[in-house]
Amino acid sequence: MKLLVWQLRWEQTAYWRNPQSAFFSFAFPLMFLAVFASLNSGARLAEFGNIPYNQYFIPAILAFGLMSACYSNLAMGLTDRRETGALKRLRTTPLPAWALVGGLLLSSIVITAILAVLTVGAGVLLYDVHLPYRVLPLLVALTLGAVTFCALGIAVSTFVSNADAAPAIVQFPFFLLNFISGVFFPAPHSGFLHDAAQVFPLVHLVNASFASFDPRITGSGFLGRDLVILAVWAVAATLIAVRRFRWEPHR
Amino acid sequence: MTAIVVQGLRVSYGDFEAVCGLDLRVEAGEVVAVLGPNGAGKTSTVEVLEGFRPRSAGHVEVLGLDPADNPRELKQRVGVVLQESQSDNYLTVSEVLRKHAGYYDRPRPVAEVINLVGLDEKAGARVKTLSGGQRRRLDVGLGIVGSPEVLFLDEPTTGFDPSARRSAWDLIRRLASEGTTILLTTHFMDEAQALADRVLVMAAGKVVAEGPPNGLGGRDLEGVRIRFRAVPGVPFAHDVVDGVAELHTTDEVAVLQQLTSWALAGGVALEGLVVERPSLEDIYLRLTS
Repeated sequence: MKLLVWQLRWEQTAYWRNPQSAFFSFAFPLMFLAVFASLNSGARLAEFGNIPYNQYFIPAILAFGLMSACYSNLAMGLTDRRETGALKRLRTTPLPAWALVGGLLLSSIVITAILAVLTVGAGVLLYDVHLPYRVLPLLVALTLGAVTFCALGIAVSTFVSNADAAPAIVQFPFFLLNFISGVFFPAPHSGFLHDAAQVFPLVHLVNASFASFDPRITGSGFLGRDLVILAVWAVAATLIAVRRFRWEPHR
Repeated sequence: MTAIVVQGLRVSYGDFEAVCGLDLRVEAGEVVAVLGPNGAGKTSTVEVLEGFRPRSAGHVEVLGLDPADNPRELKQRVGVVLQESQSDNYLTVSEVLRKHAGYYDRPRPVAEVINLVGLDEKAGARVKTLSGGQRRRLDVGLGIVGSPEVLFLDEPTTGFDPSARRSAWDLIRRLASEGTTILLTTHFMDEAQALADRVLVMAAGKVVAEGPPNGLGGRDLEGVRIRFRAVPGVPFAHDVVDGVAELHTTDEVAVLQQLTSWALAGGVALEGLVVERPSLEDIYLRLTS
């Protein structure tokens, strides 16, 4: 436990000093937020009972930011650490693997939490978005989402053997998934892209986050089916990550 | 106590056998240098000892434990300086050392480590801004911050300027005087000569010679080479190479006395007179070629 806090502290110190990671995790999603929320500020979504577009878009862009902070950050960061020999050097120390990964996960959750506050805050203050109608289901969805996408990030890093290729290999599925999973506009209700998106976890994170922001909400706000699919992805990605993880650079 | 025991170590990559039956014992407190050309199997051997490389055969013990089991206790007691590594670009030198010190039960004080590796002026600088040589010194610092009983150094001074090398040697001597067992690989003969109690020369996956630096390959028994500008009438059998007379003897005191008496008596200058023992490098080249 002490080690986890220790790792979290140093991960966070290094994270906030790295302009690149702060840029990708914060500037990117907040820029998309400002552009899309402003462009569509008067729009309403007929398929969701005519609610304002931004009431849907804020939780959706939050899912985008979460995926960037967890998946992209870890997939590229771990590849870089492995290929520069940093992981190999850590392997020579008594630091257990679980503390390394736990520290990264906690650090990603902290970043996601800050991003969530900024995103929801901007939505409420600038774009007339109503505060979430349910809080616990939102926190559960975001936490499970963070775990799932961190595990996916670690799993994907094991398939990238060259740090130079990492941005392309990591970001290609990231953007593809974001466009078909209903982040910028509600996902199609049928057809090939709909079916394809349903297989992957992002659309389920969008659904689960939006549920808490949906004014028509009744009941607990927990979307069981979406949460289960996220959890299945978390378990699958963890298994792949554990099986394939390596400490040493390729070369 | 024996710190490192290796018996019949074999390491293969596919069909290629990088280490073919290596035996090694290092006593606690000893400094052993492993010399050898690239591809001799040095790094493979050290990586087995560090727990990175699986072996295909043989018995290996470091401080009584098998590194292949990845025991945490061993990591507490062993320090490793890898050939190259970089990380924590956005932390400062003292922060990186503090972070790593937190992983050990009995860390060496961070200020002391910084001083030992000569980074006092850079303690507050981010790792990103360090020069190659300074990063290397930080690597050494990270290797010793856990107060290791056994220290593995893989080419610790590669890329150092001469004065940084001397300071690194002083540091290694100091660690040795504190009782740290040190196994280092190096390309530099003078480094092995300066630091090691014992030198192991590897070639093609085998140990081809082993002994104290001065006695390696029978170097101490081999006698000396006396050279001077060739002149006619020298009263000893000798070779002439490129105008330089060269003669070999194991009885250099007597030979030199007769030679210089002859020269003085005849008014011969004996220009460029040199008396030399074959260097460690000569022996090394002979053993590994």
